[in-house]
Amino acid sequence: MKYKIRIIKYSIALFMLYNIMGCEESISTEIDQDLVVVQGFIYADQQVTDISLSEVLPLGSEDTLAPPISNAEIFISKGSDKYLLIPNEASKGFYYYPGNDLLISSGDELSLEVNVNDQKIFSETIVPPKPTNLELDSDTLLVPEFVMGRPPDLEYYSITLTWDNFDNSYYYVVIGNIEDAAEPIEVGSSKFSSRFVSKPSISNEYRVSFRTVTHFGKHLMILYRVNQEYADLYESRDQDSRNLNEPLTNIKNGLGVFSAFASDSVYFNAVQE
Amino acid sequence: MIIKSKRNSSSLSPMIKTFIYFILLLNTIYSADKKDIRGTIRDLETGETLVYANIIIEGSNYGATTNQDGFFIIIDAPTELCTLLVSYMGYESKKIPYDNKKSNSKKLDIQLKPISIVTDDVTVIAEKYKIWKTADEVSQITLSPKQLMILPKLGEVDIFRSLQLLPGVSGISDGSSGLYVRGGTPDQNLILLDGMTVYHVDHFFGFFSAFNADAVKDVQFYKGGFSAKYGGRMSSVVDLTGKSGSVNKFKLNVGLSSLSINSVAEIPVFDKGSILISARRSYSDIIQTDFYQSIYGFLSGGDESEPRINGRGEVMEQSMMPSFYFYDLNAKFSYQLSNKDFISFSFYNGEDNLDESQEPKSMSGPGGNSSLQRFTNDYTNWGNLGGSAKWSRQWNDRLYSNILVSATDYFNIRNSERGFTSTDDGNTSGFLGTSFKSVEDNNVSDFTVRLDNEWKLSNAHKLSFGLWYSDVNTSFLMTRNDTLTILDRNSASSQLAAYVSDKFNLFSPLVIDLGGRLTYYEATNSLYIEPRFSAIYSLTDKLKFKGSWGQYTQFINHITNEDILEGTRDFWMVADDYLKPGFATHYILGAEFQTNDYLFSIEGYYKELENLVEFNQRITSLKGRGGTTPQTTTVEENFFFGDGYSKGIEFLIQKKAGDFNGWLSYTLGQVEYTFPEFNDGLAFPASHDRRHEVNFVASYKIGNWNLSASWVFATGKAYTAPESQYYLTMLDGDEYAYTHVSDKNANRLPDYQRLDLSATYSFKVKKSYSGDVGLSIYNLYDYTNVWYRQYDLETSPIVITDVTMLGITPTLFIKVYF
Repeated sequence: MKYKIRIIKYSIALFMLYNIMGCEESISTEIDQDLVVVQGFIYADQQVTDISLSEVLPLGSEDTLAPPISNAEIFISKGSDKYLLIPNEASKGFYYYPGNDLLISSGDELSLEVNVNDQKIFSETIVPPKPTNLELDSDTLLVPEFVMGRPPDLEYYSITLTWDNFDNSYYYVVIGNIEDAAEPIEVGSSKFSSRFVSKPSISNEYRVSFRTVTHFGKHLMILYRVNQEYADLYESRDQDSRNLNEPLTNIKNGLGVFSAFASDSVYFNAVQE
Repeated sequence: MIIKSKRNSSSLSPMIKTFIYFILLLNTIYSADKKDIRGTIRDLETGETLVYANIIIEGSNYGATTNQDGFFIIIDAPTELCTLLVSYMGYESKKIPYDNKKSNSKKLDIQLKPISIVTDDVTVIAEKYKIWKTADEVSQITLSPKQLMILPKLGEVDIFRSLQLLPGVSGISDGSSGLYVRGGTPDQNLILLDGMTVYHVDHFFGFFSAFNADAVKDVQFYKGGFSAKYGGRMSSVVDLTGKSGSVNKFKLNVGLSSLSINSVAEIPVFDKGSILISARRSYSDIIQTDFYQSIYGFLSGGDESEPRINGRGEVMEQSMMPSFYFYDLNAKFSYQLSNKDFISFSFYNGEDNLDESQEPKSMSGPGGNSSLQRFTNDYTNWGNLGGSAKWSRQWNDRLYSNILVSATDYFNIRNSERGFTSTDDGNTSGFLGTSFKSVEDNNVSDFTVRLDNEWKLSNAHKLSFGLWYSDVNTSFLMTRNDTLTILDRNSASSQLAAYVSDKFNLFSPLVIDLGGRLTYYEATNSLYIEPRFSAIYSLTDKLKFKGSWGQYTQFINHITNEDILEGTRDFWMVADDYLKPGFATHYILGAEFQTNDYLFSIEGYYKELENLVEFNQRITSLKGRGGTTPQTTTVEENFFFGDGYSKGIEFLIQKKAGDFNGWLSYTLGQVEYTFPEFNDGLAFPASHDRRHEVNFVASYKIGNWNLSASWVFATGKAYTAPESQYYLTMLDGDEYAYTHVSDKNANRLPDYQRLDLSATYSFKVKKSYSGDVGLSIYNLYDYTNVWYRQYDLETSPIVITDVTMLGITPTLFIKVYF
């Protein structure tokens, strides 16, 4: 009996404690709906046309397009000069500079100022120098005939692009087929037909193998010299759900990226062996 | 910080001198009608010495505790007829009438009888504490591995999981036996087995601790504020003393659980020594019980996770049950060379082996006369191999020394290989296609020499001092395809430490322990001074106040990968000029009130933490991928450094006596870190921060049955959650989705709770053998505890899945003693 009473006492104490604990609320996650996403890309020797603003999408949203923001006031500053961008009516959320007096050159230090919904968003970047000594060891890329169980020699079926990179900068290669009606490369299975996706690297060469391309014909190969903030976007892509991190950004008081690029290009032909 | 420490230490030294002179003077004046009482305390059945057993003169303040060889001395005891009260957890207490006036100063040989769960008609006086008790030092706990059998368990009797039930100690999940002590992390705990440092402290990816409870005699656990004798870690100390074995007769026990089989053999050697061999091995590679499968299912992603699909959309690597086993082997030889000399050699080997290889899968080639076979070989093994040799000598009744030499080697190797072989008319013609080979190899070797001395200047004054030399080498190698080295780092450093700890009664109810530790660390070419202070003030026989303060430095870090099945990516690295030694300052204040049956305790703590290290796994994994990034990266790029603090208060009510006993504890705690690179430099909760934690443990003995229950409640784990998504279009036209996340660890998983039950029946068949058989039920009411929250960021909208921990899990066990 004595023990029973004690057990009951313990149980009551425990129950009370449980209820006290149960009252604690977990920290709620409040989504900041006013967050602005900036995508601002500036290219050396080109007009400023690729600046866009959008909202974030709530996690549960089934939308795949983020609502664009078209009512912002955006300035690009270069030295002491300040240029007002205007919304592109044909493309919601995009802004451009209509004049010809904003010349973008390598070495320019640019800043971005966005005023929207009582928020001030700021960022800055430097236009990198153009890649130098761009050289492709062959302008023809041979594509082998695929035989199951006999993988081709990758070295043989590759061409290599080289350039100078004395200061360990980031470079990024984009390859595109420029034929009007390009013939797809048949490999017998879909295994090697997906396009190879590259990412910025600190390198002075890039090897293009037959697996890099998906169609025969003429290809344009653009080599971009990119800044750290652009390379960071690739570092931020993969997220482990147990160790989530805020993607790297150079936008103050917002999300996204503001970056500048300089590029050079070459051509090659992909042909069947 | 080092300069600050020096100033503190030097300012204290004159005070130490004054105290020593004062106590020596008192000692000379009052020793006229007094005589020492000395002897050893042993197990009656086995003759094995009992460490840290208590002996007191009833009705007085005179008493002593046995040392590591079971020897005790009560200095300057009154020369009169008295009663000695001898007690030790798990043993019947003994009262011995003793006339200290007529005695011839002969060494006493006191033998205590182990308590049997099997009922006798005779009423015995048992040591009041059943499983653990607060010990002589602040925040120190003595645990009896012998008594852990009665607690609910998960397949195995587990020392570390039992420690998780104590106030101020928590585990991070069902899958971890790691100890998070007062806001510290498991790598901040110094784990010693017979003096050797053990780096591999768990089996089965952390599910079980690596120590076989049957091979451990005593556990001393210091939750903080530990004395200068211990160093090299900044949170806590778990000092395990291995069983030395029976010196009287051959003994054997065999145990079987749902996961493993184990046996302990004790062999006497010439009545003066013994050999103990203990072996445990899981049979999960031979028979995969439901219990094993539920654990493996949990560890590989929980009940809710989907089978893995590889990057090309194929399902060749979907769920499979790998071959896994672990074992541990303890061997100890102990021998009493003379009345003054005792030697022991201890050996430990624990290892986990995981084979995730898959049977080759055939793929037809063109023409039909040849075929391809896809193979996957994936072997991982990790463990610890170590040994120690100890010589201890009782120079005289008051001076005791021991020297210990130990060497341990921790290894963690993963070899994985994927590729194709071609067979033509049944003959293998070699490797074809793209093959992938990966090797990850982490190694820690530790060579340590320790000299510890205890000098009892009087009954109220003990001086401990010693030297500690250790040489630690760590290496971590990660390669791909034999040609690409992703990480290759070797570090080595030695340290030489000297310590002194002076414990004395300043006046009768006040016991002070004042000490310091001076360490020269080679890698930073610096001296580290760690002053330590603790005090216990006994206001009455029942009421004590206690406090301690100390500084602690840690010279090695364990980098943990949360994806536990990628076990090999955990690695140890020694500190150097870049990876600075961790540093902590402990402040502890508490009080305890004891009655015959109950202990009420309250203890508050505050820890300042400096040079904390975070390893960003996400960036590491990216560096290892593809060929466009630099082929060699420096591991330093992935480390981030910060500071933090941990604070809390622990409440405890323990019913220590009677057939119904147990404890109820509540801990209110907080751990916050500040890293300049995280959370805009603002403080954030550590992922193991648990605001509230309740432990309720009860045990009830009815006849040959022992019923027990434990209930655990804890605030949910802190985590970082995604809040929204946005899209950016890259230069090649691809659109990537990005996830904007909350402040670091700003969210909490649901609260954790679990009730476990256990019933143990003890039996005895005449005098030939006895045993225990029982059933344990883990998570009795099948509460859904969330391990982590998984976000599928590839889908839109994002799919959120709660990966849950173990549901109701019954296990059976049996143990037979011959």
